[in-house]
Amino acid sequence: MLSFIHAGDVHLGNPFTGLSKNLPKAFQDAVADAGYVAFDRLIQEAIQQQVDFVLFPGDLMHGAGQTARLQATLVKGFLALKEAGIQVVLSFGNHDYQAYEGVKNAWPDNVYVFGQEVQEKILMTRTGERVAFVGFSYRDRSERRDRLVDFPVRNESIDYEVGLYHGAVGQVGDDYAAFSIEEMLQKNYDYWALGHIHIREVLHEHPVIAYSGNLQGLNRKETGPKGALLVRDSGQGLEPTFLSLAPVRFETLEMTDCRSFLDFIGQLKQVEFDSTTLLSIELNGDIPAEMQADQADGRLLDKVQLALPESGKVWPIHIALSHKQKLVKPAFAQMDFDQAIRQTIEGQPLTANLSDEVPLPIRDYFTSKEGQQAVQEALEELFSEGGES
Amino acid sequence: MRIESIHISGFGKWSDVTFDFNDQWQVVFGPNEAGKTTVKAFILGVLFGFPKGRKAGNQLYVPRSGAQYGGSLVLSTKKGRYRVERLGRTKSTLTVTALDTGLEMPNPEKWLADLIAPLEESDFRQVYSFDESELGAVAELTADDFDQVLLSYTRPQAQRFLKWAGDREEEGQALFAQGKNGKRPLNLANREYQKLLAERPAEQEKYSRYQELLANQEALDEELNRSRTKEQSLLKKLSDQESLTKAWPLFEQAVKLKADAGSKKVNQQVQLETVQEVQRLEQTGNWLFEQQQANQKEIDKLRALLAQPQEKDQGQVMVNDSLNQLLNIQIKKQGLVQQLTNFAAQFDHGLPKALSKREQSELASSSVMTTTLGGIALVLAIVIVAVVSAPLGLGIGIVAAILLAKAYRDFQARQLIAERYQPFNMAEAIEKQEAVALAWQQQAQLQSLDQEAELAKKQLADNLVHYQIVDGEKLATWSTEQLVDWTRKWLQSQESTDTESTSRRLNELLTTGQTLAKKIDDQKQALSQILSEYGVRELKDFYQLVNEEKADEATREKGQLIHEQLGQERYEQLLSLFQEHGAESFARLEDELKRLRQDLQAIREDERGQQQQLANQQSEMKQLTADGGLAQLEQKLANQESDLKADYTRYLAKVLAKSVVNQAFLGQEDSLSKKVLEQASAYMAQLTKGRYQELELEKGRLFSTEDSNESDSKRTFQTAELSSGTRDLLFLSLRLALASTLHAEEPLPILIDDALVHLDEERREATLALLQEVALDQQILFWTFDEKLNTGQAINLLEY
Repeated sequence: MLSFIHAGDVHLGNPFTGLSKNLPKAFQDAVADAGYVAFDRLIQEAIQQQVDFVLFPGDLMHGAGQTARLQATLVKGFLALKEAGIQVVLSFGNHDYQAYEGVKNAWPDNVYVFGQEVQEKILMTRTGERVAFVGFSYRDRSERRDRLVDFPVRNESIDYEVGLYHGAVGQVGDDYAAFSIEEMLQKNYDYWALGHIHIREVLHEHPVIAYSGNLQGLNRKETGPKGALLVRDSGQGLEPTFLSLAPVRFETLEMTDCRSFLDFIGQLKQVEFDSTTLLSIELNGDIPAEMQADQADGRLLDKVQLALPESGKVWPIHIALSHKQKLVKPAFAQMDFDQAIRQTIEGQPLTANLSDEVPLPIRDYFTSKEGQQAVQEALEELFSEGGES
Repeated sequence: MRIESIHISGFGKWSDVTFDFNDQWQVVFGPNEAGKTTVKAFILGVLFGFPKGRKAGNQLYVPRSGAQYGGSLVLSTKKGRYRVERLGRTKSTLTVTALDTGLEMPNPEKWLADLIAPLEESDFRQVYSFDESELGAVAELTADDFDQVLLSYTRPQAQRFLKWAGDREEEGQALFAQGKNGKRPLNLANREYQKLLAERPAEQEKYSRYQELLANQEALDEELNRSRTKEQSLLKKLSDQESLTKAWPLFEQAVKLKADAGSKKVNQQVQLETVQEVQRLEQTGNWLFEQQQANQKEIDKLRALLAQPQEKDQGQVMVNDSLNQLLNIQIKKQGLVQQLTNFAAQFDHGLPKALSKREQSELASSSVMTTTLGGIALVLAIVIVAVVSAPLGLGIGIVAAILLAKAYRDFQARQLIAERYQPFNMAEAIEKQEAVALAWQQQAQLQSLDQEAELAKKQLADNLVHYQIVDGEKLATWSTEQLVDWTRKWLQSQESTDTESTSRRLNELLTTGQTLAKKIDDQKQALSQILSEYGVRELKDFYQLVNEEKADEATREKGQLIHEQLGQERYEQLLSLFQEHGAESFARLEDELKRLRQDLQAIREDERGQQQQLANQQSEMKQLTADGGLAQLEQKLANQESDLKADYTRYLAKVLAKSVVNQAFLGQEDSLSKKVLEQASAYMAQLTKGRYQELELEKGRLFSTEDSNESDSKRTFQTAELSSGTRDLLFLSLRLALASTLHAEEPLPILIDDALVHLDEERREATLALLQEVALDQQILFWTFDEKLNTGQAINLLEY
């Protein structure tokens, strides 16, 4: 019976974003190793579960994968799989398309890499079933063509047909190989191993069309356990089960009505975490004035970090205070400050206040919605002081 | 809202005093130092809190009387009448009581704040409370500053927010300078980031280095493998050579043994079976000989037995012997008894005791002589006594007595012997002495024979029992006669059978002897036949021959063993070496060994070099893979980016705060400021008696339009162009317009403290008129030292 691991968006070598250079050493180390540890665990799991294949439907690597550690890790892993009689089926996605010409040549012969056109590859399981894999590698950082149309309809002469697809649901012409579930179902495959979206999700059952999500969360929006899908033929078709593999987790904790900073820290310390966790905290309800002031001054996170042990499992990386009440409109004002803030941000480019000296990614950030949103929130926090310094 | 009355418990010079403000236009009169400003400060204090701390210029108004600090106001609002009481200076308590219900408000501070909301204390102080110094300061201001001050008065909170935002902007600028080469934290962080970014190409280089190393590693691996193969083959050669060299002494020995074995004549080989046959024959011969000997001995024995009386068996013999012994003793005893009986019969009194030596000597010496001698001596004694001398005669008389006594005793003894030997006389008795002694010996012999007989009987009985002829118990009951009789009968019954069986046995033995002799002949013949085959006649020669062969065999076997130990291949190698080089062979072996060892060392050094190179390379690769390389750098960059984003977000918020305030307050003309300006225009027209009709605000500047009396033409002046007197009026108009426009729902009282002293008479009159007009809509408390205003409704502080 067929079994394989579906690991989309491994992003090996990808740095975590949204962390500070002041991260404690232990967390720095954990972060530096996280992707590699997760990948090693994936390999171990494949060997232990004695699967037939490991599928990587795109974005296995960060960029062209041109770092020594990354390549050493991949080659080591692939060789271990080879020794265990496990074959690797791989396509490149929008992040690692550049690797197509380079690194794949250094990989052992149990790794099958899809070309830049849709291809079908028939491989054998340990027990002799024939499995057809269909997929393609990205040629560029985006793929606007309709790729699904090139996927053949299920080959009835073989035992299983599995599609590897790096893309997102959408309209043809979108950046990332847009597809529709309906069209996929028409191909009559046994399983669709999707990549590109980092959130684990089953888009369709019987047959399964699923994103495995990424192997290791990379920023505070990629929360919860991360890993890959172990897929087995249950007799009623191919069924995925989640394998939790990521050694470091991003989590978001919502807290309500803290009476004081100490109360808040006390509550925070009560929360238990299983694994190394980079924590974002959202504070709702009544927030003590001291904490609001600290937040407006950018000190709150520092204070929380200081109050927690560096040796613990959890490290707070972000704190947001929710503004339940709108900022009041002061007497004689034309408009309330919320509106004034929005108009100010919309009215002029933020980068006008940033000289060329500011690194390009930072300037880019403040031209993005995300950066503007951050400034807006900061201004709201600042004005929540109500003009009292 | 109106302030109906105030009650001061203790505040500055005032204690326990109540002022009722009955009028909308309420003049409070008092000369300097009468406590006017104290009353105003009290009202503001109750509303917004008493002055705190020892800040410069802060007057604390500690009651001089020592009465309780504070007091209350009675306010009438649209919602009703309330008493607002604030007591205590450092820790004041505020109480607001609804006078209609008598209930206390739960949150008095909030109640107060709500009362004037959205205005705040600062607004109230700026707009509703003004004094002489403010108006005085107006004259000092430059035209631009005047605009700003006026504007700030039109938007009282804006100024506060602007100032606050200005502080934020400064903080922001402390974080980052727009100019190049700034040393502020974010400028430094930028540079740190750029520096890190500059490391990226080098990190990317590292990957090409890694690839290079990877390719190189394959070549090195191959090279090393070649070296290893070479080493292996050399090691094999070396080991072969070593074993050859080591084997040399053995080989030499083998060669020598072979030579030895070769030098001996080739013997006819004695088969092991033959040796075993000979040994078997020899053993058989020996055995047969022994058998023959034993047989002959038995024959001799039987012949002798037949020739002699029958031999009895042991028991029989012993019984017979012991019986004979017993019988012999009995016969001897009977003989002795007979002799003794016969001899003793001669004597009347039985066998007499033999004479002792003394008796014999006495008998021989004869008593006659003694008697005679005694008699003589007696006579002599009598003689001597009578004749010679008495003593001597006495002596001889004693001797005569002794002799006579002895003679008498002898006589008696002879009488006893005669009786013993009766019927024989003394002489006969002496003659018979020899026979008597013999008889007594026989008597003793008889006794010892009795003992012997007892012993013999016991011996016999023991034998009978010992040989299990008679049961011991049964035998114990038998008398000697019974025993002897039974034994005799048993012996007679035993003797008859033996002779026959002996003859038969002899015949058998003779037959056996013949068979044995035949077998011995056969054996000898067979043996000699075998021996003759090997050219020997004696057995010992044969064995010598066999031993010699055995030694020969051992040598051959040892040679074979060595050969085997060496192995055919090695043996042949050594042999060919030996055949080629003879005695020099060993030296040659050693030379080759040395050469191989040198080769091995050389290849091992190569290998070490290659391994070292490989190890270096692997360590470099490990370094390249371990330090994370580009990924680590990118993680660092990402972290710095994240910090920079957060820091710049904060920076941008700070520097944009002012823009936001401007946006909120100054962005657009609005209805409120229009209303204020309209009201101010109306007041200005009234104060200037229609000269200035219209005030306008344009791009942050205030313009006043003058109506020309002469024509329809209007002239517009900037504030800077106005005379100082007109500016005072403009200021007043705006303030009053604000005070009457803001908070229109619940107009707040205006507190004016000697504000008109700078105005000339005409303007003051106009102003007072305006104020009283305004007071129709909202309460005005007017503090003044102007006697003219101290009219009936005025409160004269001098009266309190």
